Amino acid sequence: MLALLDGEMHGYGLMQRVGELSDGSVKMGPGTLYGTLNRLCDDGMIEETTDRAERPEGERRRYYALTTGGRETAVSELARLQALVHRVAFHLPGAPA
Amino acid sequence: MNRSRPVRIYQALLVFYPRRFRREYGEDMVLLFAEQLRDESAWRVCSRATTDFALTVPTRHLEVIMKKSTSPFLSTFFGAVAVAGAMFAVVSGTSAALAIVGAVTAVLAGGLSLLSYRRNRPLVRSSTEGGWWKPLAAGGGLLTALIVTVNLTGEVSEDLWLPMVITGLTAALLIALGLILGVSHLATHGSRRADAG
Repeated sequence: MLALLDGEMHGYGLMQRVGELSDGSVKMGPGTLYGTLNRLCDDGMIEETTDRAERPEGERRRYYALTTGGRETAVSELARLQALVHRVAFHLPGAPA
Repeated sequence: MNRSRPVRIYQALLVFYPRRFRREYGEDMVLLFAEQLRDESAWRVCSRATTDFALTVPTRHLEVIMKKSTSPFLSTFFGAVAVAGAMFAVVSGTSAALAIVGAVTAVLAGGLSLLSYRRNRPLVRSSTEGGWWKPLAAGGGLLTALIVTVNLTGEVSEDLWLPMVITGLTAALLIALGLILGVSHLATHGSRRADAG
């Protein structure tokens, strides 16, 4: 979901974006990626946007984007994770007072 | 479109995914796999796809099972047919053929009701199954009250005929429901014992 904050993406683009965001530590396979997309679609977090814009001739890929609710969830989850990391880092030995 | 051998093998392996998932995303998955092969080494992509395949096929099937419909429509419908068949067998009078038809219908529909109930049973067990005796007791009580009333009043007047039929049907439905829940409860209890043993 965080990978989709930049805007709509197709499956392969999304997979590459996940790789970038995780510094290459997360490499999703097709089954994992489309299983996750399927669940997020069912939960109303993302939607298919293939028909909303003109695509290059012969383009067969499907595009996905966050819904309004999905974006809100992603942003709030990002804020929660940032706050958690900040809190934990603050309490670690050697952290600035 | 010409597809390389790994892509064709991957496409063939997609048959192991649940049908709905495969129809929805199968073509996209093959396309994605082909794009990965274009940009990375075949060995790396194939080994990653193998791991992904082994992990996600059972996961997708499990998701399908967990989402399975828990609608009680079919089991209720067959239960009602079973009760109707049983009642038909009882009221068919002296005709043995009609009684047999009613009894066979009751047994078959009862079996189908139990089967559809078990198939549609959610993974998380509801507390209603443990109380299977309640509808059975309520139905039995209602039926007893009906029989006692008929015996006490003698001949049933026309005004009371419809309410009595409705009461009888309700009692029969409650008994059928109690029996279905009870048999299912016993069967589950037995299989759990077997699992524990």
